[in-house]
Amino acid sequence: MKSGYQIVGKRVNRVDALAKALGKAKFTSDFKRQDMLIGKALFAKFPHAIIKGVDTAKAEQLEGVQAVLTAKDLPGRNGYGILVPDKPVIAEKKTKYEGDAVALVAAVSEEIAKKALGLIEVEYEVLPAYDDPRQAMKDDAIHIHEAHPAADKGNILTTVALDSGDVEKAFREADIIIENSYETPMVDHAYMETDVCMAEPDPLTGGLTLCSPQQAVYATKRCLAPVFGIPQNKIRTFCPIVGGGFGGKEDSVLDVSAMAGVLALKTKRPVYFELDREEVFRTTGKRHATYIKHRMAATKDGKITAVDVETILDKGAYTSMGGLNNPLMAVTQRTAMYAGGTYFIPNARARSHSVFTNHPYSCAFRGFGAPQAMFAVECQIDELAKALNMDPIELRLKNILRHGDRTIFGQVMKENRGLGLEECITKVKGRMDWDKSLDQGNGPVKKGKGIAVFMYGTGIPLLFEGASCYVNLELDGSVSVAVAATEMGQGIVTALTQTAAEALGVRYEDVNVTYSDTATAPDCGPTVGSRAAVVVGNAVLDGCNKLRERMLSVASKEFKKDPRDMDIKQGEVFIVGKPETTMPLAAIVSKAFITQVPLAAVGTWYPPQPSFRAEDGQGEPMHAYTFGVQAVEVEVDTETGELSVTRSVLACDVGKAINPSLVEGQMEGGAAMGIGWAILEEGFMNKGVMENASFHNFLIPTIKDLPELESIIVEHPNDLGPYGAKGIGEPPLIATAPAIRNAVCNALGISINTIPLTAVRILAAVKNQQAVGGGN
Amino acid sequence: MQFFTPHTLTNALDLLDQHREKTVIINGGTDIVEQISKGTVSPEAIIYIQDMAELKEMRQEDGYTVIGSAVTYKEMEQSALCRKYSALMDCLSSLGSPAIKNVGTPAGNIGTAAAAGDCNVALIALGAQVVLESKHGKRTIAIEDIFSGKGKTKINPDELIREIKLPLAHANTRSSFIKLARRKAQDIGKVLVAVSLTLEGDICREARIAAGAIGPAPLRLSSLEQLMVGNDIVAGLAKIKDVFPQEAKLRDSRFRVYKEQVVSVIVRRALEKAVGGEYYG
Ligand SMILES: Cc1cc2nc3c(=O)[nH]c(=O)nc-3n(C[C@H](O)[C@H](O)[C@H](O)COP(=O)(O)OP(=O)(O)OC[C@H]3O[C@@H](n4cnc5c(N)ncnc54)[C@H](O)[C@@H]3O)c2cc1C
Repeated sequence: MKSGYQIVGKRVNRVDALAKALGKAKFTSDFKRQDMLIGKALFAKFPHAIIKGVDTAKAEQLEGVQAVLTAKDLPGRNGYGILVPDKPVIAEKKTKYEGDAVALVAAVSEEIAKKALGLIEVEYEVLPAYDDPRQAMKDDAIHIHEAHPAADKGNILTTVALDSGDVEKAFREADIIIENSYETPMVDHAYMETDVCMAEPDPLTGGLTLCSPQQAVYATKRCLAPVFGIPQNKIRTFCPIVGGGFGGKEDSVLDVSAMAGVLALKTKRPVYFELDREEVFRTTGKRHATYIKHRMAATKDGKITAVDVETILDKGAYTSMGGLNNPLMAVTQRTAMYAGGTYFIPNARARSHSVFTNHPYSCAFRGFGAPQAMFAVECQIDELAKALNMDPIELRLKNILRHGDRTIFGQVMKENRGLGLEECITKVKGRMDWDKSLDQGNGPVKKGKGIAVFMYGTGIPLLFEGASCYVNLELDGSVSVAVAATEMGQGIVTALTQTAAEALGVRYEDVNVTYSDTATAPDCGPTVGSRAAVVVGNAVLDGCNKLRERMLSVASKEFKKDPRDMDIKQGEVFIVGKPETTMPLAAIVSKAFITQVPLAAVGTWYPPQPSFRAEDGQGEPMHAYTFGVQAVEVEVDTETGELSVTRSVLACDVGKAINPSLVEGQMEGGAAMGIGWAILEEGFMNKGVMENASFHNFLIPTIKDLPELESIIVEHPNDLGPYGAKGIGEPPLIATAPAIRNAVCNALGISINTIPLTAVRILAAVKNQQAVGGGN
Repeated sequence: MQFFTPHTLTNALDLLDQHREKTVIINGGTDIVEQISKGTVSPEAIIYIQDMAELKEMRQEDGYTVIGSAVTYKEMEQSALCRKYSALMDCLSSLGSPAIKNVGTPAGNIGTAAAAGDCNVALIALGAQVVLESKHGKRTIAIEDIFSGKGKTKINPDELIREIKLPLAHANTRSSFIKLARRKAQDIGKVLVAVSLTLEGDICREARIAAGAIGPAPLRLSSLEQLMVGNDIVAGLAKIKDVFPQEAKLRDSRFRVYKEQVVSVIVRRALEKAVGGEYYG
């Protein structure tokens, strides 16, 4: 791998840093205009009910109301969704969760719109609501969807099966079997920017323009075109910078855009539609809650021989990214795929059932099912270590995937795609002083250490995985790059700017990347799956390389040299070995311009075709995997149950850090988010009603709940990634929860298998232990 | 809706007298503004009281530290007069966030009368008196007597909290405050306890123990105080150790069992914290 990069690997400032620091960067709602109507939805009063009638007469008569829509007033199909169109724009016969709209209003002011909602009368017949997928999947449960277009059976949307080796035999022959149940909560993404859409009909084309914070501008217009009855080429979807997405804005954008869009088409006016925070909590997607039964078989010297895992996912009311049968198995598939963690396990069986409930639809959320699956495996490994009286790190090192090993989903691991797990473990072990025991003192506060490891594939295992972009050389030697990816704080625009500048040999300041607009850039796939810097990065690299070759060929004529002897750096073209022979790139570009050499290129990249067989869950879903290790120290107050995470060390093998500061940003943010999921966050659901739909009592960590977040970057290059890079967006939070749980067990000598590890839950476990006697 | 920003107390009391029930006082606004914007409170008139210099004063007078009702938490935190009360300082250190402390006030905490009002609990333990004033006169009421139920106070619609009076701390008085919450900052307490003990050697001569979030309003726990008074500290602590206060009235919630388990722990810790580390263990 080439080293000595000019810009890649450098801690250059984010392109948007100054504007954001000064509060000058504009988000979608900053573009609200006076002439826009205000759209609002009347959401379901009951999470599960039959709609007997909707009377909008009084609302329609209110002065200032421009439109009141119910299901019968829609221009196109009353259904949408990323995988299957099972979510109605406006519920017609039934409500399936609190977030189903039963009527929409557009009015000249927010006040009037809200008043109009209060005038709409809806008659419901209330049905029992399901909170627990284990109840909803029973044969006698009421079908939440009366006729779902894709569900396997009753409330079971889909079951993903993964089989390899001979599981029965391995369990028969095992020296030791570890069997436990685990639960992880449904949580909100808690992105800062609430969901909003500005929809504007285009009188010239008869089309529609939708501006809304989101993660996939092309997916949005494809999903919604049938709702509007408008061809895809007449819909423009775009957004400025986004205030956080974490997977949620792949879906929530569809909700607000569908509602804003139909109101705009009806009124022929621009419509501004914003959800308030409570509505975001009640109506938009969440992380799938899971209920996992995990069995692990091993030899007495600590070799894992088999896993047998059943995962039940709380799907919520609609499919979203939950997963359908082949090939779109999505989150459900990931829970099966990662059921064996980062270990070489020759025999495996995993069954993952995605089950409808009356909760908000579960969707993509940082880690996409991997955090749930890894939580169970990484707790199991610690349980195994305890049973074998082995050090948890030693046990892990005995079993981790190495070059040539097959994962439980059948993919052979290769060092040339980056396999840095062992280095991550060694570094974290050293930094944590792992072998040194903690001073326990004699007060009520106990200390503990815990560790967990993870792997996470870069990109999405779908047949269409790949990306395109435009790259354009300007006559002054500057470079324009257009991608459809979203800048949601992760820094993709900066990383792509660095990638393009390095590839073309221009200065960082001379590249401008525009983003997230279907009118200006071709499809590059969604900004999800920790894929953009790698997959879109490779497309940018491809486009830049094409232009670079063209310019070197033009330059070679000027310098009368072979293009292979020429190079471009800092915007200067020169003969290799003779830096004094320079000519500005701008001059070469101008030469190209007048000699009929095209200055624009489409960059594309596709990874090796992803595969994943529906029959047995075997395949090569992603081309490369990011690895990592999280270790923590905790303090647990045995009298109050209070838990403090006092130390966090995270190491990730990212292949190549295009910008180490951005990578650390993802790592720190991931660890912080992981701590939130592990110790604080949970939706209090009561018969489909969220009882803590505000930041007042849906708590996410503050800075005081976090220790200093230490990050260690490890680089085992991926030979297919741009400059060796692998994805880093989602991975950092995956191992945080099990590391904390393992540390709490270490502190208390009690196994708690449900997160979040709230004081209530910890104290209950301590009291329970005291009641039965024992513990330490 | 009318919005008044009186600069004198007389003017404010006149306004209150004219508008009575239809008026809302806004102090720091950290509680009431949210209610107004949600529509749970819809006043006809708002009286904003932060512009009155008379209510911004802090002074020492006749054996009391007097805190004007428009004084913010931040101003108290920075005041040498307030720093003498450990319970108050403990309370301020864990209250809300810097942004909340910049504008929020103890008077507002009283007005909201939340069961989990941090400052209310500290002020009960410190024996605070609340001075209420209307156009027709003044009255003084002990803070623990001002609450009349969940979110309710005995303040009349034409009255305003003029000031809060804290008895000057006796040289042998020790106080502390502990907030047990789900999160380390910006969270509503699950159990709040404040204590103030006046000692004579190792003997506890006076005790005030207050708690929040374990009943409809902040409470004074007289039943526990009795276990301390007249005893030496170690004996008192032993008596009080696992006692669940009879004044507590826990409502049904996700946290009920948890609160039952931790109230006595927090009371004990607050007492130990007040008298100093040596009794801790
Ligand atoms: C993010 C956040 C965090 C918070 N954290 C905490 C916390 O940790 N602990 C805590 O206890 N509280 C907390 N609160 C609640 C709030 O900040 C406190 O209750 C604060 O003391 C209220 O003071 P204020 O001056 O803002 O009251 P306001 O909102 O102005 O008033 C509250 C009530 O008191 C009445 N009132 C105010 N002053 C007077 C007066 N002089 N005479 C008569 N009536 C009056 C008002 O009419 C109103 O009914 C928090 C609030 C927020 C938004």
